[in-house]
Amino acid sequence: MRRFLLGLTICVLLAGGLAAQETDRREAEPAPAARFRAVDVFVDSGASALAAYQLELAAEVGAVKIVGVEGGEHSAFREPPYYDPAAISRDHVILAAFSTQKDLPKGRTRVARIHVQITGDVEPEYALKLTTAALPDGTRISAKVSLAEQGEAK
Amino acid sequence: MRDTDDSRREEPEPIAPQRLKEDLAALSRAGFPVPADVDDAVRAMARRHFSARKRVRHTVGWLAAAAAAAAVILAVLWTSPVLQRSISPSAMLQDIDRSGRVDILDAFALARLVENSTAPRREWDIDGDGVVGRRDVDAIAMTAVSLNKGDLQ
Repeated sequence: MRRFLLGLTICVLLAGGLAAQETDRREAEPAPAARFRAVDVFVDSGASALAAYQLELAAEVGAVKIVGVEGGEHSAFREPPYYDPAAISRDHVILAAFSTQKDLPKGRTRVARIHVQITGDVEPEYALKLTTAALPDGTRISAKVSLAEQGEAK
Repeated sequence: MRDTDDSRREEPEPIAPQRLKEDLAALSRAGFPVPADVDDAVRAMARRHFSARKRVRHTVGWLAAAAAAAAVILAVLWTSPVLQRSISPSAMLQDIDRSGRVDILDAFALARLVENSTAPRREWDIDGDGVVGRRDVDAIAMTAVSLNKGDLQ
């Protein structure tokens, strides 16, 4: 009986030691690398003055989290656009803004900058879709939308 | 085994007595004559009964077809934008440019109306605070960017 109890104790101690070793090994493994990037959003209204826009951005590939939304370069769109606060920490956002001022941008202009957190090695890919754009009198116009990531055109 | 088969073969066929045969035959014959008018009356009753059942079956068929048609019409109306707009009066209120959806152009339209109007209309008070102004414009814009109605996902 004594031998049995001694054997059992040794087994329990060994199992505990192995489990602790496994936990240490797992803790020592590096977490997936997270990096932060800024994604610029452009609207090109050509020769027309851009007074309003609405677009939708979604990360289709990669582990991406939106962490912040900034305004654009022109004074008409310098304030951050409207967006759903629920988009923060998600990979999908709808951006919209308008301006009633007289001085409005024409051609390609940066309307917003999105800050994202990327986890893992997969390079993110985004889908960008213009919902609407308009002239100062509210007339809908067609426009092109594009993204650029830290100087890299996409 | 063979003994049993042999004994079966040897059993004679049962023969019914002549009297029993006659009585059984008499049972299957009509015991009394049925007058022609009674026959006609029974036939007419049967015809009425079966034609009534046919009418009921016909009516049930029509009712089922009508119910199916009503279900299809309801399904079409339920998914149509017309009914959806009437279901959500607040969304209809925010659709300032009457385009059938709420987007930033509705907020933009209201902003221009508010800027250019000296007497704002009551229906422009989207948030119901009694004042028509920037908060109403913001309310429409926030509806426009709500993630619940995204197109990409």
